[in-house]
Parts: sequence; structure tokens; C-alpha cells
Amino acid sequence: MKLLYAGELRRMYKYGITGASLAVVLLWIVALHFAEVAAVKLVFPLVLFIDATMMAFLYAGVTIVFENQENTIKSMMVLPITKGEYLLAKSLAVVTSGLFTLVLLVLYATMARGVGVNVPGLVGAVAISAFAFAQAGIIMTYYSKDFTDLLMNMFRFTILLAVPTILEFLNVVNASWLKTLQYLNPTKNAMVLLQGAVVPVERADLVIAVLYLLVLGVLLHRVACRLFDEYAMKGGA
Amino acid sequence: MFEVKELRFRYPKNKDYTIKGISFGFSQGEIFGFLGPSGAGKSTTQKTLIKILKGYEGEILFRGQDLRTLGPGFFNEIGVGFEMPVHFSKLTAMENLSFAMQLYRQHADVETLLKRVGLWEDRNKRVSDFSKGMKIRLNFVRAMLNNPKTLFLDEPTSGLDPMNARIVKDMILEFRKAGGTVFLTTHLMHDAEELCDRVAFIAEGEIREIDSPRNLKLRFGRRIVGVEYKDGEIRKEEFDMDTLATNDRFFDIVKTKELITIHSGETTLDDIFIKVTGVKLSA
Repeated sequence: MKLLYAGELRRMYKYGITGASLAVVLLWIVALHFAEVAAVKLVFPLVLFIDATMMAFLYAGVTIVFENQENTIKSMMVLPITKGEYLLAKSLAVVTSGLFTLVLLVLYATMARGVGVNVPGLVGAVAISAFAFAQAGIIMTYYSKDFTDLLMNMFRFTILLAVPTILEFLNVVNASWLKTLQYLNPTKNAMVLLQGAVVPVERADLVIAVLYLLVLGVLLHRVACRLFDEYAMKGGA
Repeated sequence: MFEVKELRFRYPKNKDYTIKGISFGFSQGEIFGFLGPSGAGKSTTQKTLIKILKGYEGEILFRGQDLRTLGPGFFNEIGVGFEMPVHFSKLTAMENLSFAMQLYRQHADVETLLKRVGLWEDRNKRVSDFSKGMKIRLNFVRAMLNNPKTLFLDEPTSGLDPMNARIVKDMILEFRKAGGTVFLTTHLMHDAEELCDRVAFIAEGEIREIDSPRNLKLRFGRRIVGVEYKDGEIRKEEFDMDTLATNDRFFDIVKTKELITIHSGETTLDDIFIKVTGVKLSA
């Protein structure tokens, strides 16, 4: 497992995924640099939210798309490993990438802008959220023909799940029925977790979010494992 | 070593079965050739044997054990050489091999293998800079990486120049000599004839014939001797091999004419394949 995980990290670096992740962080830092301190505190969870949800979703999917395009997925399937280990290593590498982003952003926010954050809380929030969304990204890859299709699916996913959460976060939408419905939305729960490490949130909401994302992550991982054989078969492996 | 009984397989979205109830087996120390044209079901059969394709009907036994019940440890026992390159293109050849090697219980001597196939000097080059032939040779090394007991090779010489094809074929023969078992899928009859102890002809998902290349030639070959000679113009005559010793006409030609060629009427595996299956193999 350790070797698989190290291999995933190495390939994320070699295939430019780590570089792309770093570029996104730098863009965020530039954007935050021009904001007021109060605004930084407000926007900071939103930045982490995008990285721990949509970017985790995309990075997990991209690594599988690359492997399918290069036929290396076949090579992986004849190694003495289980598909669970293979997918878990991938997911943990994506979580690591999310944590790497977090470290850079926290360093900037605390040292350059003096924003106080709960670092252990943020680490937990990013890890739990990125893991759950990486599973969603893996599953979505099974239903995407290629990279462009994966991007389109991510776009649909964002419109359907992330946009309502962002609109609620920015107080653009405030309807009570939406707030209730949002408890079922994984992006909303990820946002609650990330917000909780920067600003005070309801304890009950925090507990619900942790449990929801943990259970969702485990369930989606099991689904990803179960559907993997069919995907490998479809991909001509 | 492997025993396949009434194997049937259908891809999820297909109406028809790709493999239609085939049975065969191969033993330790044997090179078993699986021959057929594209789309005949060769690769699908191989993929079921190496557990890439699941959900098959029938039974596959590996050393008497149902393949379905075997865990990932099974992959320590086998080596798989795919037809297409299966390497991470942005990693070097050595990085690709090292990654896979670490996950196996036992390891081959990579330096010896790479030197043998002529890739040692290029081991630190990115695979994306390799030619197709180099990638195919690296595929072969990848298959041998864990000192397997059984090798599954899908068109191992396809895309190789004659010199490198020779090296790979020699390595396959040496592997067999050392006690290894090989399941070889190919459409190249010349390779099969040279390497295989037994061959199975597969067409449209069914096995039509299984035997040694020699037996097939004896069974399907024509027992004749063809003589080409000059008698003013070039002429050709055929004689029954079984009555050759008493055929005066044959001896007359040999003694009095200028011979150009003289051949026994052995047929090729290509011809036998067409005769048995009614399907022509693509080049």
C-alpha cells in the first residue's frame, strides 16, 4: 500500500498534476493578496472548499483517465494488489495534494495576512472532504468517455451540487427550504467543515457534516471498487 | 497447469458470446499457442485466464484451483506481456520497472533482461521517447520482471524487427527450457510453428483444432514431392511420396534433367488454419 501510494504521488508529479495544483494555489494567493483581511477570512474557506471538493474530484478522475489512455491500467491489474488498494492509494494521493495546498494557503493566510485558523480542524476537514470527493471523481470517470467528457461531467456536478452551496455561502440564496435540502448535499457538508475551522459554526452541523462525509467517503469507495471491473472491461483492458 | 472447461464469455453490452464454450488445457513446461485472426477471441480468452475479465461462464482451474477463488498472490506466479505498450510514458523505463518490481514477491535481474533486449543503455530515457519496438521489448521485460512460472504473451514479436524478434523468441525458448510455461496468442503462424509445442486454432469464439504443429502438418499435409526441372522450358511434376522408391519417371527426371527445385509437399500452418476454420489470417 505504501509503495502504491508513493507511486501515485510520483506520477502526479511527473504528469504535471502536482504542478497544476501548485499553479492553482498561487492564483488563489494572488487573488487573496488583493483582498482586505476581513474578506480573506470570509473567502478563505471558499478557496479551501473548491480545492478539497472540485479539485479532488478532478485530480482523482484525471489520474485514471491518463492510465486508461496509456493502457497502464492493464499493467496495474496484473500486479499482486487488490483493486481496493489501487483505488485507495489514488485517493490518498489526492488527499495529500489537498493537504499540500492547505499548508501553502494556511502559511500565507497566517503569516502574510494574520488570519487565525484552526489548523488541526482544517487538516481533518480537507482530508475527509477530499477523500469523499475523490471517490466521486473516480466513479464519474467510469462514466466519462475521455478527459473532455470528464470535464463536462465535473461541470454538471458543479452546477448541480457546488453552485447552491456557494450561493448560500455568499448569502445570495437564503430560502429555508434550500437550507434544509442542503443537509443532503455533500458540498454543503464539506463547506460546513471547512468553515468550522475558520469561523464559529453550529456544533450539531459540524457533527452531521463529519459523519455524513465519512460515511459517504466509505460508501463511495466501496461503489468505486465494485464498478471498477466493469470500467476496466469497458476500457478495453 | 491450466485447465479450461466450457469457457463462455460475453461482453456486457454485446448480444452474442465472444467465447462460445471452449475447453483446453496446457501443462507445465509447455508453450501453448492460441492462434486466430483478429476478433477471433484470442485476447479475450487470455484476459479471462489472467483475471482481467470476470463474469465468465464455465471453469478455469490453475493447478487444480478455481481461478475465481485465487487472490492477488496469483499475479506473483504469472507474467503478462500485452500486445500494446503498457508503460507510464512520462516515467523512464527503469522507473516503470522499479515501480512494478517493488510490488512483487520475487524479482528477476533487470539489468540482464534489459541488456538482453538491448534497452540497458536507454533505461533512463522517458518511455515517451521510445520507438514502438522499444516499448514492445520493454513490455516483454515487464512480463519477466517477477521471475514468473507462467508467461502470457499477446503477439510478443508484433512490431519488432527480425533481429529483435529473434532475441525475444530465443528468450521464450530459454524460459521454457528452464521449466517455464507459456500461453502465446498470435496470428503469426511462423512464430507459432517455431515456438509452440501445441497450438489451438480459434475462430469466431470456438476452438476448431488442437494439436502439435508437426502432427497438424502430417495430418493435413500432402504426401507428395514436387520437382521443377528444365527440359527446353521449365516444367513441374508432382509424385506420390509413398510410391516414390518405385517411381521410374521420378528417377528418370532426377538422372537426366537439369533440376531447378525439389520439395516435399508439406503444407504451412497458414494453409491448415484456412482449411480447418475456413477463415483467412490477416498478415
